[in-house]
Amino acid sequence: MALISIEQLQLDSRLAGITLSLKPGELLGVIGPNGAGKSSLLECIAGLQAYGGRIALDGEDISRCQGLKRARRVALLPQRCQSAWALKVADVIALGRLPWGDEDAGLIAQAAEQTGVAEWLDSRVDHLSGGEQARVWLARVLAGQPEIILADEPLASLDLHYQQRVLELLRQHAQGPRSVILSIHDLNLAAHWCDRLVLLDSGRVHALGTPQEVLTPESIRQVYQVEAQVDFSGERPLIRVLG
Amino acid sequence: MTPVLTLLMLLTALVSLHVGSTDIAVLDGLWQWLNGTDSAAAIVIGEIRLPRTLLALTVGAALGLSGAALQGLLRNPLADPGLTGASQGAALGAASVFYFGLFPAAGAAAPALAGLIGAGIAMSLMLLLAGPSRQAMVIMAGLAISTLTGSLLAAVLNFAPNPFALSELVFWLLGSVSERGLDHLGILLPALLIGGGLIWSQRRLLLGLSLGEQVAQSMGLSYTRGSRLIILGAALLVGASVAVAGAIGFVGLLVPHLVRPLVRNRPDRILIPAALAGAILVCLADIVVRGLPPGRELKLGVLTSLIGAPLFIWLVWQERKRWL
Repeated sequence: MALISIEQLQLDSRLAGITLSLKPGELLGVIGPNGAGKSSLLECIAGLQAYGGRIALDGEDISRCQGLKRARRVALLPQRCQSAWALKVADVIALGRLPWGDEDAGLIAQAAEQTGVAEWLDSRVDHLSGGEQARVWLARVLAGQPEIILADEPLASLDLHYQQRVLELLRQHAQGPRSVILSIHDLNLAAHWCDRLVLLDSGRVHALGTPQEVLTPESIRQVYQVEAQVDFSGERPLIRVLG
Repeated sequence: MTPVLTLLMLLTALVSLHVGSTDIAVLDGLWQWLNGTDSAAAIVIGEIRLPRTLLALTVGAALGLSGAALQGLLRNPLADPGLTGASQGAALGAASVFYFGLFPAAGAAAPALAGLIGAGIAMSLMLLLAGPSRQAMVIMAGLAISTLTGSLLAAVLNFAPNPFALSELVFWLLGSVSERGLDHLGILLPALLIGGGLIWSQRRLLLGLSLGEQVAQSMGLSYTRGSRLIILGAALLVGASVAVAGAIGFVGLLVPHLVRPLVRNRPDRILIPAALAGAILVCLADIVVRGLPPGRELKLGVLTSLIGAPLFIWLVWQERKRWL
């Protein structure tokens, strides 16, 4: 059964009749041009927007599972994050335990270990570089042990090394009963890392399926208005913009 | 940290009971007052120093706590009850009672009641004006509402019925905890308990808001409801303290900065230490006021502003360096 199933999702002028589902163990990539509705889609699932249509979690309407109960199962990693206070890294990761009302030291240490920020637990988060901070924000989400992570462009402003590390962690999370929905701009990375892709265009689903099904030269031309060469024959998929 | 601050607060209170123009045995006086003995020491302690000390402590606690809560809510270290329009609103409300005799049914509690309403209206207007937008707008909107309430206050002063009433009100606005009785505590203490309780109930929201509204909401915390409760709590605290003691500036702004390093900058853990440190600070300032050479008394609010304003300038300087 689908972990999340979305039917006819509407959000004012931003989303128009989105229907898709997320399976357990799946890493679903949300792609599309700026303003296509990627963030809006994630915000609806995270409960930040009042939408029309239906979102079901484990077959049950998600609006029945509100507040802390939802937050324990679904966590959002927003596009931009900044701490208003000079918090210690350990305290930022502990924030992920807020829905549970505890500050489980074991889970905090585990999340720090997974993301490789354990050595900075006692440092101030505002003293870290952008890439290091991004891993701390991810550790915060992991500490909550959610079933579903909604990651909104987590690669923006990261260098190649950290992009790789973050994608590895998300891939690792999307195992067994757990899943990840990842909004991403880089089509090559999307094609390589994601199990399935949903291509959004002006708030509608343009294509949904495996990377090979979705990333055709034709759909890229229609949605992005660029000519592209697509090659899935090699070890890694290659999408190259022409001209 | 809290036990240390509690101990310091008790010590400050004890010193405050000792300081005065006459030299008396504090504990004996307190004991006699509690027993209802009609001695000079009992009157000095029970009628003058004890109310003054307790008022200084509660006003300080209310201001420190409201400052910590507002800074946490607005995610802005420069937020102050004064910068959000709440204190000016409270002053306007209380001043209107002095002049127009509003709420006659409320009796002695009328200024405090009007102060609360004034603070609540000013803060609601400010939030309405700021809208759902970011922190900078709240400060702008606060400035606008402060200017509005300030000009209305000036109008009230303008139409003062007589010069004596005018000077009385101006001195009252300068802020002081002297010449007030234990009955004022009857207004402040419930406000401190209810306002403090409201804010305390939202401490998780304050922590969640460290990473922004979006993150707080995604963690299942209700921002709309929680922020209203925090603002209501802060308005209660500020409204009651301004209504009882006039404007005691900069305490709400500075106290959170003093204690933040002690709680690893966590906006949820700062609340009680900020209340305790506020109580200590205002009580200490009042001791200094009483220790100054006799003559025209320097008002407590004037002293805290004189000390606070340069510290505020320093804070702005620090913030500036952060962004350079």
